[in-house]
Amino acid sequence: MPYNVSTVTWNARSAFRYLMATVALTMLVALLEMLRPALNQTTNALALVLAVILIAVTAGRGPALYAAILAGLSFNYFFIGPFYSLRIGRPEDLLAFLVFVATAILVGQMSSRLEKRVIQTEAQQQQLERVRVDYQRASAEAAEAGELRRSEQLKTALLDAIAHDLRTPLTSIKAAISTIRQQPVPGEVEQELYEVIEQEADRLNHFIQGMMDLAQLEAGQVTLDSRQVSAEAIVEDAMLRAEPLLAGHNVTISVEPDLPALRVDPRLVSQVIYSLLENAARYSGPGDRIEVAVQRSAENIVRFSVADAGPGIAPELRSQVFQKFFRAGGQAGFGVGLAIAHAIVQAHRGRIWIEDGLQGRGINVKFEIPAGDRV
Amino acid sequence: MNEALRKILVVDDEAQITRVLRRGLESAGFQVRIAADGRAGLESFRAWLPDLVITDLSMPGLDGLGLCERIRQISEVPILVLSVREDETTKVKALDLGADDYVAKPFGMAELTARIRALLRRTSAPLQKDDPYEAGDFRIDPQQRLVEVCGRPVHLTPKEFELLQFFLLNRGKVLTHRVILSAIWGSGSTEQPEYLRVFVGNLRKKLEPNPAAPKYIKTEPWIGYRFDPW
Repeated sequence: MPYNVSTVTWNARSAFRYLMATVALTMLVALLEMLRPALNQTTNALALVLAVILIAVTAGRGPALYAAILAGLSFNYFFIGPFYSLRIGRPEDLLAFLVFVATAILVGQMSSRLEKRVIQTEAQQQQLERVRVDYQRASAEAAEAGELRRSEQLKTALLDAIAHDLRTPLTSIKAAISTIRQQPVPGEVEQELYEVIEQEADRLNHFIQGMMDLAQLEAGQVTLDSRQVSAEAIVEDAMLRAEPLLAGHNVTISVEPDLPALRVDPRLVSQVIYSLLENAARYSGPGDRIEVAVQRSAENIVRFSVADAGPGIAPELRSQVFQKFFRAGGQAGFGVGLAIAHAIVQAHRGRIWIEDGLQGRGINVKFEIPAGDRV
Repeated sequence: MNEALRKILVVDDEAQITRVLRRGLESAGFQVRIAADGRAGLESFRAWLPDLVITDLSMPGLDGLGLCERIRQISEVPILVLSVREDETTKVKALDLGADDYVAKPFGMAELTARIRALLRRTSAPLQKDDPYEAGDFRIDPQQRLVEVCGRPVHLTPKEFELLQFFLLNRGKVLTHRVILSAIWGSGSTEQPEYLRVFVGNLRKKLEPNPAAPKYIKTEPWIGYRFDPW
């Protein structure tokens, strides 16, 4: 609230201030009068000016002016000769009186103005503080809203990706069942459709298992069911599950001999390779090469890689594909598998990354896992 | 034309889905070819000249939208889009670009083959815009601007006649608001579906036995209309 300097209203409060000024000065003069033998004129004058300053600071400009005049008259009456009279005998005393009055008025006015300025500044500072607090609260709320919106967007993107991964096998299953029910189909076709239904049901189950793994890995709740296993066995298991997806692709597998045995959770590591194979199959054309390799990258570290000749991923996007909501070129269902892979590799204290793929296109996803403690 | 000779090109990147579609459509008496993405689909289309194209929307490389656009530049072949709920806007875009119909995943084979037959029926008996013709319950004489529904003469305003004619020529197709507005009122009016709603309402009152439950002009919610003269 702005401090109104110019308005002087004669009300009970200002009357009280003038009364207090009068009382204060009277008491001071009485004290000085009592101590008269011990004090000289200068001390008296300074004491009175000090009183005016205090009144100015506490009571304001009007009482300060009033106090200055009252102090001047008291100074003249009590402490300028002849004493106890308003007359001034000597010219130097007249000068002293005038200097005293002028000083008292000036100092009083300046003090009160200074005090007001201080009060004003304090008020402004308080106001600034309030504005700052309001601003901080508003910006915190805005940030929270933005955070919420972003997390909602991520949730939507994730749900889209999950919906796609659930609906794709369901589409195959529903179309297969309705074909069998609707038309008389030759025996071998019927068998093929049943095979698709079974494989796609398994795929749904793996996907759900993957989502559960991801949720638990992210919450840090998963306990690795680690055991001694060969890298070859893990790759074989993944290949077996991915077989229906890899039909029509040209897959080669190379495993370096004499690899150290791994101490890992075989189901989870096999899931990583399965996800990479699933992506490679989806993103490369029929007949295109897919290369799976396992080798030793350091004394006790095994490196797996799955390379394809698909459309590839721009180098600047390669680190983002491991986030669970990522979609390459608007493709749903890409991110979840790689996000699960990433979480699994991290849980095994390994790392996963992407390099250039086959024939100058495609991608080569590599991951390394420490062989782990021997039993 | 014998359906056994009809050729269907299926474009989808999901191997298991195309595997089932091949078996299902072959069992229904169609010849089937498969392409795993838009580019392969376009090549196959040029080489094989199918009677109908079924395409997924989200595919790596050339996607379903791109494929619709490319095919429409060279052919009027019926295009049926396989969509999912998340692709709602993409689906409308595909229909705007000239796709004829859509089926939502997951779908049953009966639904899919019914849609395929409806689209093939239209192309197997193309209507001549200026000669009198019959389609389902409708008899039209474009020169005289005469319309009969189940033998009952109906009087239409010139714009209503134009709209009905457009519906008949595109029977069985899903027509988006944008496509209809731009065909009847010109490209400037494509942002006013309310306008269209009024005309369709009037047309239904004159044509439909029960306008509250339309038999001919069916509403495709949030997309447009589908006209079925049978």
